[in-house]
Amino acid sequence: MLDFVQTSIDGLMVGGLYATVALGITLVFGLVGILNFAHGQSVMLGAYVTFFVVSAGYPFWLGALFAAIAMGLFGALLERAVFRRTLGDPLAGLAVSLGIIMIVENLAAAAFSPDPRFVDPPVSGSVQIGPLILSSQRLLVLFVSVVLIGGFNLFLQRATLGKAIRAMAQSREGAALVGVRVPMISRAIFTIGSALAGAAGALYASLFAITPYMGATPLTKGFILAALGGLGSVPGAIAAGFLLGLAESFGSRYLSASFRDGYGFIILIFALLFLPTGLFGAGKARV
Amino acid sequence: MLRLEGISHRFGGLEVLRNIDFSVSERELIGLIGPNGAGKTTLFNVITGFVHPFAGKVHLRGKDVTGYPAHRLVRLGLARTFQGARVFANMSIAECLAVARRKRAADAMRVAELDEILGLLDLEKYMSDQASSLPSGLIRLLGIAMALSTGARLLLLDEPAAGLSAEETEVLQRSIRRLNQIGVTIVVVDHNLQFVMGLVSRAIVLDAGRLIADGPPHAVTAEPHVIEAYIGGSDLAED
Amino acid sequence: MTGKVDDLGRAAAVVREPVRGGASQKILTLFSLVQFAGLLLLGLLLLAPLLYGSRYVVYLGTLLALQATLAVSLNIVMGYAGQFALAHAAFYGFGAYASAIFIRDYDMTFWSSLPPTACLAAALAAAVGYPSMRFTGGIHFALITFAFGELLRLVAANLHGLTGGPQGMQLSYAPVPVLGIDFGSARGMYYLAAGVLALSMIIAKLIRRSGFGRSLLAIREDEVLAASLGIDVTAHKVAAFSIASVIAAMAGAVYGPFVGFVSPEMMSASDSISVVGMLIVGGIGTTSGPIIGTLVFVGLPELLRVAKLYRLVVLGLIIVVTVLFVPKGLAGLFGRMIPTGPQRGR
Repeated sequence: MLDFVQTSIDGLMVGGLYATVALGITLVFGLVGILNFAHGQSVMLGAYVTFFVVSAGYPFWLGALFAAIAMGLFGALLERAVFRRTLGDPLAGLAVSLGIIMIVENLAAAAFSPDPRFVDPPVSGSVQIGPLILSSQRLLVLFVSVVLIGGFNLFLQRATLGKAIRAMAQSREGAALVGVRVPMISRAIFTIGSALAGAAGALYASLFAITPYMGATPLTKGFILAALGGLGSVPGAIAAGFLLGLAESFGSRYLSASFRDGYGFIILIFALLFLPTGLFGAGKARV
Repeated sequence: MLRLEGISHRFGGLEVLRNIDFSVSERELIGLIGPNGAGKTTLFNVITGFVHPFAGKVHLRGKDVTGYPAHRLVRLGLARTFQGARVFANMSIAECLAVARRKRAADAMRVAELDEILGLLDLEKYMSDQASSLPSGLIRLLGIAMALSTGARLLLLDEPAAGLSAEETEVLQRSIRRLNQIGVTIVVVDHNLQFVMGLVSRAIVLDAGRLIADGPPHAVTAEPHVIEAYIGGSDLAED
Repeated sequence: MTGKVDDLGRAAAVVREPVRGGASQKILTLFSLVQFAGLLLLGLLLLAPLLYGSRYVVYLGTLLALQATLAVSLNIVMGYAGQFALAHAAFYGFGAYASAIFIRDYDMTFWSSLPPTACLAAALAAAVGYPSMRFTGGIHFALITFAFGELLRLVAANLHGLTGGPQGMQLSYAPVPVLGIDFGSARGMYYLAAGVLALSMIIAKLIRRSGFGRSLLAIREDEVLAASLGIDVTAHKVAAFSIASVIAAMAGAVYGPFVGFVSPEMMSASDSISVVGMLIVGGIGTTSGPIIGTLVFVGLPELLRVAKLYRLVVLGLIIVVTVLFVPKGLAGLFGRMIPTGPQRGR
């Protein structure tokens, strides 16, 4: 029983991380219609930013903040320079994002060297709650991701921009009709999504090793989650993120740890097999 | 040839088709009409295999084909066209037809018959032109030619006259009549009542998902239900 | 009626011509010249090892031949059927690993390991392709193949007992001599790789000219329309993907003994994207496009000793520029890749 709880909590911790990445993806793909495979690069760069800030002696939270801001700007830049031109065509956006992956990943490898880097976590040791022993760092990650997600939800509910985003999620045309400036909101969504990825990158940095190639895994999982949770659905992405974290945790504990990253993939395959309309809602025809 | 039994369908909570029953015999030329939102497009998609009906059965030549995907139906002799001139834009006419020709229905028409049809539609002189360079009237005919090249015996036309000039519409009408004369069973769905009623020998009327009339055009247009269904809509005038 | 049949016969002859975009005559001629030049260059390069025989030239020729095979085979699923397959390098690696494992654990020879490797690759491709290719639009498939490629890499890196883990496996076998030709030598490997390339090009050409290939092109243009004309779209797409993946696996099986070593790194997403990039640059869907793309992006840097990292950055830049700025229909490059129109929705 204890084991079960421990595994669950571990799963939730990682799940929070996944959910943060998935949030950015579900918004960008679901609302703006851009299939941005380079999203993982924002995570990777966010991690590196954090690393450099911390190496320079500054506290971790500052590094995370810088990461989010830097990645937000990066996202805005990408949207303006690149993705705005591929708006009607998700596959063109995909192709372009593949090119961006190559550029960013390899520039990073050239600039930062492919050796893994490590960031000292802001807190260390473990916390004992009753009979449970939990890593402090992981708890912090869980806490921060919950704060991020919660804050984001609050933003959606209260802030004008947030409401505009919700309006767009319901109906693009309807939103335009009531005066929402769709192109501007689209850029905002891109920026926010990228900033979230940057923050997730900072969290990743505190838990795992940083390499220039680390973007692929959060990207893949993020897309799987965004898809499973329903595109453009914030609660869906969040729920899917936590569920995946749990699935991986239990799978690792009780089935096979080395296969950890594969569980999400298996779930995805099964989802595809059994969902008649595919993952993206009723829009897809079956031939 | 084609029989629908109790076809019902819904999207989410909305019932779009309620218990539709009708049959089409060989060599008939039928129109499927009704005001906007009556469910014609959905019914069309059900018959042609693009939508799996919530309830009911579709029979093609006595065989239960409910839920069969479109490509299987083509092999059984049913083909359709699409609204708005849908062809392979970057291929030549000849290639478009060649693609369609790969699949032959079970009792495919002989090559000679097919050639006569293609000649009818008068596309020969354009054989090596790119499909997208054709004027829209001819693109419609190409779409029909492609559907026929599959060897289909039952042809469903989706809004073939939409957006055509008076001249093009007339050519289309003549072509459809001629096709029917040489033995193709045809069902036409269109908003343009003048076009459809002047063409078909039998009209089936849908309103709000229900079949409300079925008979010769002049009789159907006189029926009070039908008139009522159209009041308030502008479908009685030409599009 | 015979007149009509003749016309259709002539029409059939027209069909055998490659599908062309709305390019003007001039660009068309230029492109044909480029195509011809590409093939010529390839021919020269492939023959060079025979003439010069220096170890480096032979090595380069073999490498190029294998990379070109990847591009040519990917063209079958991306160029003809229009589907973004992002796991090609993973199948390449799979072929290398599977073949090596069969030889090591099941006492097979190089040659006898090829058929089971091919079958496994086909089965994997079908298993991944079928659920995802049922949907129109290509997004599901792109996502699944990307995830699958990653998955294969992770499996290779984690199953230490089977695959040697992240360090990979040292291979010390060589293909058994066949017909008196020793394929184990450097020269022999080159012949083998060139043979694989030639075979893949023949297969691609055969497909292109067949009804199957024409259906694939129709699917790329407009899936829904193709289905309405009786084409079983999913089956065709899965078949194209399986064929492409099997060829990639076979190339991988040759790669193993060629370098004497396999590791999970050869299955990275970056490598899969590279192959896609080579196709985009060379011209998707064309016959010589894959060759040109390979020559430019593998051959040139190798000759100029450009570091792999920078080569990839440039490739990425070229992908971005090509996708964004090459207007649709320019010699069929971009227009081929991204079909426009109502059928490409989300």
